[in-house]
Amino acid sequence: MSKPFEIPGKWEIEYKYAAGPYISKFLEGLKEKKIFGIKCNSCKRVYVPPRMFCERCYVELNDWVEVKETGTLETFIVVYRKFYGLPDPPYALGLIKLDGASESFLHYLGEVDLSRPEKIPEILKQGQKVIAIWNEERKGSILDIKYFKPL
Amino acid sequence: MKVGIISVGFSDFYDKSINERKTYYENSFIATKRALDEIGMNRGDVDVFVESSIDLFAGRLISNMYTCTAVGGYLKDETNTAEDSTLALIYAYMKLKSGLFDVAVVNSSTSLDVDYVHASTTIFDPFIYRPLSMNYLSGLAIQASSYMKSFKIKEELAAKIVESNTENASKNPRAFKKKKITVSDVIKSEYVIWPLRELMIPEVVSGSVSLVIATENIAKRYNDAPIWIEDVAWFSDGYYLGSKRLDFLTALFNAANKVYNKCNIMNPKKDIDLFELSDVTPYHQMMIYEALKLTELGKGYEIINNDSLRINLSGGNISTYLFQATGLFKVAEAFLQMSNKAGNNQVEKAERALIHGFTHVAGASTQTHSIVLLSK
Ligand SMILES: [Zn+2]
Repeated sequence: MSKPFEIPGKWEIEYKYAAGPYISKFLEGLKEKKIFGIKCNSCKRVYVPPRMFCERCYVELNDWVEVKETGTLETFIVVYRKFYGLPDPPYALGLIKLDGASESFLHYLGEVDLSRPEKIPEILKQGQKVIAIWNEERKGSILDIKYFKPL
Repeated sequence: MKVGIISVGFSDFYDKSINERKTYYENSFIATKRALDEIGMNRGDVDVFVESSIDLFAGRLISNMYTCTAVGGYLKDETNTAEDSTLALIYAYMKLKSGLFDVAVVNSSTSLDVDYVHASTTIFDPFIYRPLSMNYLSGLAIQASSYMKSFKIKEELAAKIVESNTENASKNPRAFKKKKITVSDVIKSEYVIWPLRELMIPEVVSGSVSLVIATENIAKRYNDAPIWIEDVAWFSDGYYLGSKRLDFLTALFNAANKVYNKCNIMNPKKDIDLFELSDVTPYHQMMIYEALKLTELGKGYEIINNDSLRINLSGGNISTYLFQATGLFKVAEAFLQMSNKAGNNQVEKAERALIHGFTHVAGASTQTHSIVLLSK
């Protein structure tokens, strides 16, 4: 029996995703170097990015707050493998509790030496203070923040 | 009215090195035919068909258009779930429990037509997580990192879990990878996404698993000793990584509480003979122990697989990772053990088994957890 065929394929489908009023306001804010969160008056959580409802209390959220561009690193990972379509490694991602927020926020971590994986626990630490580094040119994207760097 | 598993069937399993790959629905046909033939049943005897397949990885919408007839569902009651296949079993079980149907086929199939990590980038929201290069592995790594930090877990402890699972695989004739991986192999392997090393990450294989389940009287007609589904439960957590607990599997904890309360399980370690757990990473296996109350919070490393506490006799995800079909594979492995048909790795006293299913691609990571409790 001859070898069965493999037929190459690719999906290229264009979307224009509605960001909705909450993410839109958040992205607009980033253009002005402002980070907006939203507060649940029932459980007092402050969500960043903001969202229409608190999933726990199941109430609509309308109490906008501006949180700081500084925060505390809670969890992090460092990517060492090149994945198709993703940036060249190494790069780090962290969950950051921004000052003024109660829930954490995912973003890249920058200005850290990632060249030696075995050194990561010494270089990145839970509880470390970090600050947002902004792009000069901002267009209303989560990537208007380049990354967070340790203080 | 009880509902029991009366037969299981497997296709052959494949990895990328095998050229004679079949389509996922051809594998569904093979696995289902084997399960039905085993008990002399025809598709005409089956009322309900439930599959688990994820369109993204099948590379076709709606992926069960093809599996529907491959499992025998031509012009029958058929449906699909894009979750781990334990949920397909749970949906089929509920259909029979409703009293409307008597026999169901449950199937799940995994293809190797796409790079799973690459495809998984599309799972994430297009506004926040997708631009940040998330994929399903980075979601798992974030949880593993959080767990490691919260409880100061050394990576050797995670490596021991890989060793224990692969040791079980070396004895299981149906495990795809039978090579034992030692602690030092794991520690010497490279970091893929810190803190996850290469040999902590299961590699997807292709293949299919089918079960036949039936209501009590019909079940006994086809199998002298059906394995009963004693209880099921499942819960879903939120999507955002930043607003849920990452070092504890709350959804699984809730599911365990529900099952334990209903079935009067006071001491799961004693009351359950076999555990099949979804070791998507060894850190998750520790978190699973804790959510299932086999040990205290942060003490998952203390659990050792041995004759009195049997964990992943199948060899775990690390040895046979059929992605969303993994849950059904584990249910089938527990069925064979409990039916005394496991072969080389048969253990004594396998009266009750808990199978954990994990839809770890749905949501940022580990959103949905399910439990199926089987008893003789
Ligand atoms: Zn709330």
